[in-house]
Amino acid sequence: MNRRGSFFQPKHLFIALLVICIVLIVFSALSSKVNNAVRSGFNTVLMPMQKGLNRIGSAVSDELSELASLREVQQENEALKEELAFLRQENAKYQLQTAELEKYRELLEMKDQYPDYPTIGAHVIGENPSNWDKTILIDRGSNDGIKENMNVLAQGGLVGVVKSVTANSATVRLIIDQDCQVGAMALLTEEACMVRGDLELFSQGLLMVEKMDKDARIYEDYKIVTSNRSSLYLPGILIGYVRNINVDANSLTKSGELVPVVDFTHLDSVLVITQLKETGN
Amino acid sequence: MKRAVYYILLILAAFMLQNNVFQAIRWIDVTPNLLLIITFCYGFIRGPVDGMLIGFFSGLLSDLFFGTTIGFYALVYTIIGFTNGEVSRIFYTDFIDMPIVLCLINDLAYSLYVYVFSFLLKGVTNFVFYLKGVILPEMIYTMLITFIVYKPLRNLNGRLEEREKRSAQKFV
Repeated sequence: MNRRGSFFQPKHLFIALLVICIVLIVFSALSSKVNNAVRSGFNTVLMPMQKGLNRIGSAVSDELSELASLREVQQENEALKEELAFLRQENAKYQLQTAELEKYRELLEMKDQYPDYPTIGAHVIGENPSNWDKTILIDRGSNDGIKENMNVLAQGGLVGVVKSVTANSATVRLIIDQDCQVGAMALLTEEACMVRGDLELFSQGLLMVEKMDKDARIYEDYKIVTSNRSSLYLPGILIGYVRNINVDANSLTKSGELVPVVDFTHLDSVLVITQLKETGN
Repeated sequence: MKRAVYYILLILAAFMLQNNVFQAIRWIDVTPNLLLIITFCYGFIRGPVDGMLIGFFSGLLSDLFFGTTIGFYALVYTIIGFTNGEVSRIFYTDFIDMPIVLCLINDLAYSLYVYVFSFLLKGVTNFVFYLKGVILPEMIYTMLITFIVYKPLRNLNGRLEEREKRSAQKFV
């Protein structure tokens, strides 16, 4: 195997590569600027390929699920036709009621569910291939005004936060990642708590709510939103609903599970809030 | 030269497939580790130099796209490529069983590395869940894919070696 003369040994190359790796680890751990600069270069080259293949990937999975569901769909079609006739009738009735409701809403001056944050839409073009980390890649970057630490929404709830940015893409850390902690509160009572990602709970589609005071007025099915006190997240963004609250072993705090409003297994497009949280630093 | 181009294309293809196509057809909730497969297969077929170079660049690619610290995955892939190369110097066989056994050992080592350095050190101690939920499924899936792609990979390499030999003879 040793074809390149006696002065060259695989062992030396191995040690050289190990040293390079360790230097890289140390440097990128110390400064995120180095991290982003190196990344930016690579991503500019690879992004077009990534986009194309992502399209193929979606096409393949669509095709597979289409084939599988064809028969089901035919049966469903019959049932749906009957239902449709019934629903048409109902619809007329509801349209009247909706118009009425609209009037009442104006009267009440109901505010939107969300404060008007400026947002920008983005497509999800990649998921972390590792089975351990929960991050996604989106097709907007610093050219579109995306910055680090911007909040990301989808389906009316919090998805995560922008972790690193390149010219035309950005990596988003999902709130289900093990490393992710969100300062949150119950919408009704404004009692503080922490929402944390947990891979074990996420296998059942859940997150963890913890560090609630033992006497905090947080009960089953309360809405949990991001808190004013969080340093990264803008206040008032819906995260999900709490359940299974139990007092912890230390009998000072209690914790529970959180049912997120976002379906993290089918993220397709997201909204990035282009307003950063003012932290006073 | 041709070999370098071939490797680069192979790594890119594996990487893109892994985070697009296979992500879309996730089975038993994990994706197979294609980069690991090409790293240890070529480490085993071609020896430590090719193995660790492929490993290094595969790992670097994952780091640059998704990793938090650059070099984290590069390190483990490099070690795997080198080790498999050294194993093949001591013991090489043409049977398919050997790569399968290597695949299991490699994927286990890789998973343990990730678990220890990015989970255990942060205080996540529930190993049994990760073993059942991530490590074992990934091992099985990766093993199946190895079973399918090992022979094509070896044949491609054989053809490439033949061509290299021919062009070497031309020079003489």
